[in-house]
Amino acid sequence: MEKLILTPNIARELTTAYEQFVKFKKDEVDGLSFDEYQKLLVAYGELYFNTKNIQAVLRELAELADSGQESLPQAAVPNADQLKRLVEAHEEFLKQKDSRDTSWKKLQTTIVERRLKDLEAQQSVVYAAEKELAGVGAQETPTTPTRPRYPETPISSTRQPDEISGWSRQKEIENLQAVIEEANFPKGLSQEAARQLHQFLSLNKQEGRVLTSEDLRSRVQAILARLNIDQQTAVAQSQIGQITERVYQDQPQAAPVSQAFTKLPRPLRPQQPLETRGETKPAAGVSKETNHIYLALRGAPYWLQLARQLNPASWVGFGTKNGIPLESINNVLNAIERLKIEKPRVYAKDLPLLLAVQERVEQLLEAGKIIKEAEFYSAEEIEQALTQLDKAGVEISRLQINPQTEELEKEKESKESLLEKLAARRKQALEHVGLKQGLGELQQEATKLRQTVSSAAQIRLKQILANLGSGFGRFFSSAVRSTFGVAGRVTGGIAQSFGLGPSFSTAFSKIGSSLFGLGGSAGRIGASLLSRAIIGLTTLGGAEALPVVAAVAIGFGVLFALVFLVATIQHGVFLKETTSAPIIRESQFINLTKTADKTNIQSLPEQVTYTITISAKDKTLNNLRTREEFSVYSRGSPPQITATQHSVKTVLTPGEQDSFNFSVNLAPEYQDSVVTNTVTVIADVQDGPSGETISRAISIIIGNPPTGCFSFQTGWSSDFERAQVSEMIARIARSPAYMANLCKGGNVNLIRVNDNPGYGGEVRGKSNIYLYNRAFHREGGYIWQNLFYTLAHETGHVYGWRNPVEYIFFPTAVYGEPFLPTYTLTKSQDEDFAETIAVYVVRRAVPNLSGYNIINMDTTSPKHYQFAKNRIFGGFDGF
Amino acid sequence: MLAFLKKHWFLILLAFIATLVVLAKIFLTKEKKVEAPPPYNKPLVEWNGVVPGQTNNEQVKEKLGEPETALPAEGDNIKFLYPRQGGGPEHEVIFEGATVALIKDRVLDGNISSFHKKYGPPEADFWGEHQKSGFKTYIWASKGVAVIAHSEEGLIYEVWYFQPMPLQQFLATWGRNLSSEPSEGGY
Repeated sequence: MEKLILTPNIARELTTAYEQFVKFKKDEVDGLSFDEYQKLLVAYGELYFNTKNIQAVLRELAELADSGQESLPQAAVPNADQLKRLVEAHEEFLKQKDSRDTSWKKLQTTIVERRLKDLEAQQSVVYAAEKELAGVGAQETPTTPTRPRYPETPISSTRQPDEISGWSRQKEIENLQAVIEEANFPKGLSQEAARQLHQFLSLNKQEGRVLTSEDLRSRVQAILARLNIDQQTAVAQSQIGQITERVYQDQPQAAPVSQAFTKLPRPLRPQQPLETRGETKPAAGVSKETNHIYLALRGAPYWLQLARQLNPASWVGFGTKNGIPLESINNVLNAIERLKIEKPRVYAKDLPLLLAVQERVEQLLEAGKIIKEAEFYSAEEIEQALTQLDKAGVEISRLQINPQTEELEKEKESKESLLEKLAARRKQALEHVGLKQGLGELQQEATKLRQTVSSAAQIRLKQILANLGSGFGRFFSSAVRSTFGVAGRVTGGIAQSFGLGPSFSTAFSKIGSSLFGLGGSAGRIGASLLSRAIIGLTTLGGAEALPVVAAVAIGFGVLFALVFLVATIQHGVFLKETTSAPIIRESQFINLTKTADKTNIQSLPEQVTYTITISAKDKTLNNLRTREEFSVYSRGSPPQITATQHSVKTVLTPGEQDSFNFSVNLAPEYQDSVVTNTVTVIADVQDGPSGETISRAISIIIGNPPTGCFSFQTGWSSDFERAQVSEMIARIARSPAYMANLCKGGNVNLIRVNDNPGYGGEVRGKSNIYLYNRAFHREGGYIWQNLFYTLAHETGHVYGWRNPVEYIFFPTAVYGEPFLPTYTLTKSQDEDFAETIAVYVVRRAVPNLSGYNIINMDTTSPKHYQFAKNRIFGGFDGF
Repeated sequence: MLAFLKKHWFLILLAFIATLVVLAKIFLTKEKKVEAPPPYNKPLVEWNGVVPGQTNNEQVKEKLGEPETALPAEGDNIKFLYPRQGGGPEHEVIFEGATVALIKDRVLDGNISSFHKKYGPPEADFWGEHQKSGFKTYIWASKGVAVIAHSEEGLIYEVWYFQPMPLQQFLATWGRNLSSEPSEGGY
């Protein structure tokens, strides 16, 4: 009952969470949605305050939080439902909170560690040495000493500074990665996103900029969008907001006063729009061959920091007539020499440091020659450049065309020519601030996208062919709309790049925006295009060359329209429903391979020989045994094949393997069937778990096995995969009632798409199930449970579409029970319906789905179970 | 010169047309007075005596009784939940300020044909919630009614009642999550 005591802290947390939802419009707080949070409040209200009114509950909670006194349940006798709901809701709340707290603690640890590092830096010998230098005669000393990165070999520190720096940096990146992953950004990309974000934050820190929340949000959005291009999924604003908020909390809210050098003015070039900078003439005395030093972008190097600390004034005009030229630097060298002579003890004590300083100063003198010719840009200008880089990235990434289509070669050339101009303009503008690396990445992204164009086009074509009725209509509508819209916008952008002025750009943007709003109707396109174009062109202003410019603009627009029409064809835009296949982990301790000498047989009798190899990975396997089973899916009722008992070694040491084979004679009665053999190896792992298992299945297609109303359409190049799907159909088809209602709407088309969109399957309309690579392969190998789950889930959607009576009854049947937790994407009634069917079907084959034990569905989600059993599967529970 | 004209005839033609368009725009466009749209006077719909746009908080309680649950809704609004007779998800009465703005009647029964007979063909239909199971939202914005029903069999999931308004206004408010095409991914 301890958990049932409502403490002021819990009350405060609950009221604070409410403010997060209501005042700050959060979609999620502590992992709870607003709906879940409301249910939690209602549960608390029922039990503690005898009310379901949330406002009343909140008032009570606020009072409780202020009073500082604990509260016990006031309900006379809480009934079982009340307690159950409260405990469930509260456990979920604590679970999510714990998860958040772990991340928070990690963050705090990193902050403490970083502060510790700073403290160590304060004690560094550099500071002491500078004081010594000041005492000896250096004329300028830093008013606020800051430890430079050198010397590399510290005297008084027990830790290597560079080690600390690297370690701290890694920790910071890991922490950022945790924050990004917590916002459900794909794990595969989170590391790179964290790295880029860290780079950005480090830059700001070094520059001493006060980072606003908006700046950070914009940057986070740009990074996520750039990394997410290949995924072709939108980055939700909630994700961006969540990451921004978490990261922003850890950022300094004011410029660090201890870093005196950050306050120093720099020899900035005259302020002018970055876009035109490439056309400006070099400053006097700076040749075109100037070596650009990307001080601002890459952060101040050690010698710059050192120089600033040694003599800030000298840096302002370093190497120039206005500043104190090289004197102060030479003074440092002189001071060291005098120290050596006049105070040999001090010199000896800090000898390593002084040698390091001497060496760096000498380097500084060399660097000074380069610095003199360097060009500098403010952080704001760099940010502007980065923003444009991101925009350019988006534009370029969209400019994909099909290189395999001969008819489009001309458009391709034109597009690439424009692309080059665009990229050239960007490059010209950006390379001066050292963004070559960024451009390189951008080009890599563009190349990567280009490589995926071919497969994307194939997918699209298959989708259209598979659903000519609605698919082509939607495709055409979508293609035309986005094609013309994007074309107009990009043309406007390019016009701006060409320096045609903002009015021209605005005009084209208007055209683009107008076109973007067009629907799929050709008539509407024509009419609206013309009218909006007129509006756009009339805003051009009084340019003398307006007609010519307009003509060129229209020409570009038409050209881009064609190019983008093609580009749109090649990008999947129809994908609607996604399914994340469950994660089924392989054994960490056992390797198991299994082969059959044939997997596709046309006629019987035939003998099939299976070969099985077992090996231990890192630990000894004891009490090794095998289990084998056959299943047959056929038109008729052939006899079950009896599994044989195999003798295997009972102990396998790491690296050791055992192999055996066996044969099965398939008689003619197995014609037109799928025979699946599954072997399971069980072992007790030394210094590890007992009963560790691993399974492998092989299916053999014999003749033309029945597939019910399932119809294999395009993309099935692998007999193995086809056999596996047939096997899964056979498993699902064990319920005649389900199959009858599923199939009453006609064939269910199965389309195999060789792609990795990040999920295993999807349904389009009421008849088409698309299966992607992930349904078949996961974590390096085929895992049949993935396919089983994916297919069952997708058939659930088809079932729902074809049986709306059951779908409508569903919310009433399961009322009071939360959505099944195994569906890991955004939950909805649609998904819960399909998931109910999937879980019911696969729960014995996949007892642990998405981290949840589902084998006891009848007790964990009894209403869902009863609905599935009685309304969907006609009482059948033999899966 | 002739060669130039021949070579660039298309651009010149486009330039000529554009010039005409610009001139026409300059000389023929009259400044239009922006008039306020006339008030949208349509008969209000009613659900169990509750009229969106008219009935207030206290009147709802008088007609329907105390709500089973009162929940905060979007913004600073609030919604009352009333139990459905056949069980299952509750009916929702959503307020804007103190006045009823939207009612979600969890019908879970009936056929949309009755609405067709009563209101004629819908002004528009869109995909929204339950789209993966074939349900669409059929809108009679000027009547203050929207029906979520199966796209093939017409079975009704729920009915929305609101103050009559132009379709565009509906799509910008209660229907802002609807789309003409099934939404991509995401669910």
